[in-house]
Amino acid sequence: MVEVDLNHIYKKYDGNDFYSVNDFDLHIKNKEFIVFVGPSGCGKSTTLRMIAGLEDISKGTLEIDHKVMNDVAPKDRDIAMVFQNYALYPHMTIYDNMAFGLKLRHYSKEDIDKRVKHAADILGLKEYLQKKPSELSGGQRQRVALGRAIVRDAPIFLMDEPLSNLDAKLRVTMRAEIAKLHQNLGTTTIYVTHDQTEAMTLADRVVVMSVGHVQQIGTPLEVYNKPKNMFVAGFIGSPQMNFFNVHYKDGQISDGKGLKIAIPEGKAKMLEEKGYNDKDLVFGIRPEDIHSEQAFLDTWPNAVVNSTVVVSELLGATIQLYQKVDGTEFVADVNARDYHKPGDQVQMGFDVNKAHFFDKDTTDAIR
Amino acid sequence: MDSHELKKLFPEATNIIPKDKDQNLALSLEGKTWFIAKKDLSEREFFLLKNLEGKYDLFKTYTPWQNYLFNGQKQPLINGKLRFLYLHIENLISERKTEWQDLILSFFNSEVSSFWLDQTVFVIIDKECTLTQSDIMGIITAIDGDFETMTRVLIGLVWCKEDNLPQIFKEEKLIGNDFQELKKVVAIPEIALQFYFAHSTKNSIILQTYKKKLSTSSELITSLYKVGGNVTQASKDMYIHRNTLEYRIDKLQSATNLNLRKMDDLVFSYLIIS
Repeated sequence: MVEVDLNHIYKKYDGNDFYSVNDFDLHIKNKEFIVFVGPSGCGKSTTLRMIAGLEDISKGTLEIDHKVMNDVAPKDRDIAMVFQNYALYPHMTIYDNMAFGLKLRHYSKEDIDKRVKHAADILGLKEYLQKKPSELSGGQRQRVALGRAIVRDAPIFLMDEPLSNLDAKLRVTMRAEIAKLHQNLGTTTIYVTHDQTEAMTLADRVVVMSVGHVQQIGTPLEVYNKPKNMFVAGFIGSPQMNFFNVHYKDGQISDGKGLKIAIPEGKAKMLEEKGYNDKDLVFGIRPEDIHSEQAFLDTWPNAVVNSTVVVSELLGATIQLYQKVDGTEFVADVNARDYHKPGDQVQMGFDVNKAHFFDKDTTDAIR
Repeated sequence: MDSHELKKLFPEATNIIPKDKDQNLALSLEGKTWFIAKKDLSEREFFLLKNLEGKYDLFKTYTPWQNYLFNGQKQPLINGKLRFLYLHIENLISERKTEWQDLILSFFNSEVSSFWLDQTVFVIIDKECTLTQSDIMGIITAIDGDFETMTRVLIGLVWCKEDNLPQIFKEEKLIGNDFQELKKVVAIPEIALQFYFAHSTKNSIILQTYKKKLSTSSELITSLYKVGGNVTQASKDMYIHRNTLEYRIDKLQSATNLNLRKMDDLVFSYLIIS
């Protein structure tokens, strides 16, 4: 049973005036798969490295199973790490690559053999143990990197963008492998990525970060359906959420040009109670909540927008229609049957029941 | 003592790692590890050499590269280009130094040279210059994980035999001393700006040498710099096809390892020519 507590953690590098990580506060439950996600430079890898002991903590405490770890050396924290770039020793076999760290730590031959073969079994590498790294594919090599962590038999895994160097197809395969691994081993895992798809598919909970600050912590569904602010709303979800600068008044939003939409009673009441009547705000709607089917347009005539298709991307079952309404661009994710070519004038229905509203100044969600 | 003298005294000495490593003494000489079987030594020889094992200060032997860089001796053979990699290692146990060294060098081809500058700084003379920053990061990550060390690497610029390598080495080392603990692996262009703000450019052998190397690419560098690295816009400003510009960028990278698509390298190049 391993729990990790990051208690109001800060990180400031010598010579900097600002903190690279600010007030990171999180309790991680036993066996939980936590993902830190955010753009480059947001502090997610720095936070991971503080947990590993590879970076000092400037303020706050790190506890593993209620023991303060701030001054404990990395080797004594019983943590296994998997990195984005992890070289395999070119002249050693896969077996020796996986065994090497254990040899240096004076594990017995029998123990090493047992651990390596167990890890190889889990990862489907048994037949490759006597091969050299150059004989393996990229995915197989990444599995060896995972194997080096598994043989440690540590209760905590830290993974720093382990799939970033792989091509798109391989990333999808390896994502499933990592998910399977977590189910098999039940190890508490902290995973860092800039890819929101990885975060959404792997995590029990997601920590969304930006510029050294935690923006939101929640399950994938929570951060997707109830983003706390515009950053989370825009970062999570692909394609990105559409944002419109609008004015709300008496049950209607308008951008002063081609966008004029009636707001359902419940949402209108909420906006008015929060003091947003006759105020500017930001209206957000996900591409999949914009519809082109006639049935929807007939049912919600007050939520229909006339637009022009700029780009049409067929993905198979769906089409992403990039459109313009009076200079404002947005994208809708519609059924492939509703194909439109660039230049077509179309009507789009906005499902305002699923829409989000944000304060224009603070960018916080209005709920 | 050099390797020839060692082989004269102990003809059985070998670089090849023996199967029964425990039955051998391991001595570091000219950046390589030499193994001598204990059975081939008298009691007195064994006692004397045992006291020198792992104690590089006492052994006081310089590699050809050290003799060239520090003592004004002949330049070792250089075919093509090279760069210096400066590895600063913490927590490396002395008993593991040889193994650590052999493992690091296994990522390079057999022509690689190396030496210990002091107890914690290991210098590699890389004549392939093919490992990227990302590759080196992967190597250091793996080795730090296994040896429980903390290593930081400074990747030097690419040079050739005609360059004043002793002075260049000195200046790169000076830049490295200013190395803030921001990243495990950094290349000179990433930290050069902050170094050169604080130091006069007049005395920089690196800037002077690279100014000559980059003089034929000054229009390319200036055009790219003025548009923030935007290749499409730069090609328009230079009235050349985008592909031509891409080709010129690739050509420069091939000769110098400076990638003008990376902002640090572009700014560094601009700083040199302006």
